[in-house]
Amino acid sequence: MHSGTSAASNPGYETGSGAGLIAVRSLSVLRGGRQVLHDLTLEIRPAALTVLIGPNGCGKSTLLKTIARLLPPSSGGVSIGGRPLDRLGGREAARAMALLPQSPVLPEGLRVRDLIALGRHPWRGLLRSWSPEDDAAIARAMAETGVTTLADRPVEALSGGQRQRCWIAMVLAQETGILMLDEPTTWLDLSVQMEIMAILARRAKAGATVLVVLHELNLAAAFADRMVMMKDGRILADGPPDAVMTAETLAAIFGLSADILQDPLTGRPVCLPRGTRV
Amino acid sequence: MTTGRARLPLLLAAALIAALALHLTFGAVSMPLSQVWQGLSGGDDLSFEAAVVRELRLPRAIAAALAGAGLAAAGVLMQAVTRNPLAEPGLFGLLAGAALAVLLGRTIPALASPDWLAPLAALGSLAGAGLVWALVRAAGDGGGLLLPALAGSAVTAFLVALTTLISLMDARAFEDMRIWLSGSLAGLRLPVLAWIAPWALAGLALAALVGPRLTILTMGDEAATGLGLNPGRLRAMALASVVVMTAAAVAMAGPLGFVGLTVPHLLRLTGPMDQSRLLRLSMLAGAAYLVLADTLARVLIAPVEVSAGILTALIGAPVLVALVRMRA
Repeated sequence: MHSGTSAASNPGYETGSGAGLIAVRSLSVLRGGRQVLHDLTLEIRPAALTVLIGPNGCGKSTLLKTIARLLPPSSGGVSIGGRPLDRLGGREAARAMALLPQSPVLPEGLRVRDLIALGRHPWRGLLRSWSPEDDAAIARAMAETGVTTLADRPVEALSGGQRQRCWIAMVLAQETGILMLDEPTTWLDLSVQMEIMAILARRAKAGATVLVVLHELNLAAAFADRMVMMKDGRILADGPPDAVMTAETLAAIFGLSADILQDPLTGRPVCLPRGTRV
Repeated sequence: MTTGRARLPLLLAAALIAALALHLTFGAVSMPLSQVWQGLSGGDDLSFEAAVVRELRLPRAIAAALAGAGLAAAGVLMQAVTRNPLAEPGLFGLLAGAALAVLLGRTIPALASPDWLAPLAALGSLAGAGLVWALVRAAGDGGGLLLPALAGSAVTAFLVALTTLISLMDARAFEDMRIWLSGSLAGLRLPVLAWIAPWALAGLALAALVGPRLTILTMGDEAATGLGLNPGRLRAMALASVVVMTAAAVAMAGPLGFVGLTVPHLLRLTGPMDQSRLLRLSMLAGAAYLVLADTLARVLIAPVEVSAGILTALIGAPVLVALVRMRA
């Protein structure tokens, strides 16, 4: 299907090389004089959907933002595909990883297709004009998110769920090996949350490194290949959902008293909150 | 709809050409277009009409076009960078700062030549903008969204008061400046234009360079960084372009207000468009708008001239009120 030889014609996430490996080494981050991440070391691998989860203020968003070059590390560092972040130029980094922040501002006057086309920005120079690869990437992203029929609608006129699918299509059109999303399902209807997680899981299955910050335990457990649970700037549990979604970890991390059941259809853990443990 | 989208730039270009033709034709001495053409093309035509066209009207028309394009583009850039639909050079102390600096320059003999007009205006608009920025920073996070606009109007009022004070202290010395201070192109001569046109063109070129990335900049710093941009550097480029274009416009036409608000907001009414297209169309429309305003300024109550700045304010204020009512 993708027979071209240039980098742009091959979606980055299908290359199968080590380009999508995120390596975090002894990372500490200070924000406003307070240490929010303490000496974290972890690797986030391609072809998996990894969820960062934990109570408010645990540092999950800070970790995502540091990997995305939005915050500087105070010590330690991050490398992408074996290359340290600080040696990547902005455009180069944007060809390796895409980011959907928690609440991006919708620019005025854009149709759905215009918004998604902005995802092609890192692949276009000042002089390089629009290419068939760009069109193909946009068409793929629209098909994956089910917004093809909305292409000519103004984004401002869409519902919250449709809008979020457009934003996701924009980062998919960036066709990077790494996809990072900060709470992409917050405030959306349950059905839209499921749709969005299914889209991300499909990209992971196709080979992408997908890293998502989530709030919702059961949504994470239903879709994640790996859950990284954080508290007070440290990682307290890390593994596949059935290994880390236990009554003990939920008590330790969320102060939650909960029963863990198994979804009879998927075999994944489901948490039933019973009360708090203070 | 698609044909409409393609037609608008052509329509605006035609409007600009028509406005330039009107500007060259009408005046204290009106002459047919054929005579204007003869004045422009005939190299050794020494007639009075040819001299009027070549040495008075043409520089003035070009200056109006450059100033209008620059002020309208500055409005678009400031609205995008501050995410405030009311932002324009006049509301953030840039025009008032430039006017004060040029006036102060007049009091120093070494700085009185036209060579210094543009640098002084640039310095002044930078100082005006810096003052607003310092006020916003000093107030901290407590001020909210309204703060930049409030700080801007406070600084503008203060600078305008200073300017008035200085011009009143020696009314005779600043007699010729009084008209310029109301935003007028009257008295613009070729040497001044020759000094300032490169500045204006450099500002417009810088704006055109920022343009294709302006839409992404309005998504916020996090999303812009994710798409490979350096938001801080891009904002700095945009503001540098705003200062240069505003300074050049003030140097040619005086502190002429409302163009940066009226032109982009009227264009937004024609349909949805991204920031890049809005910027390009605003340059064309702003040029046509000010050339037309300056033509009106000369013929409205001829032989007396009205300042173009008075006209842009008279047109701009009600347009703004109408826009606010439409949004509400």
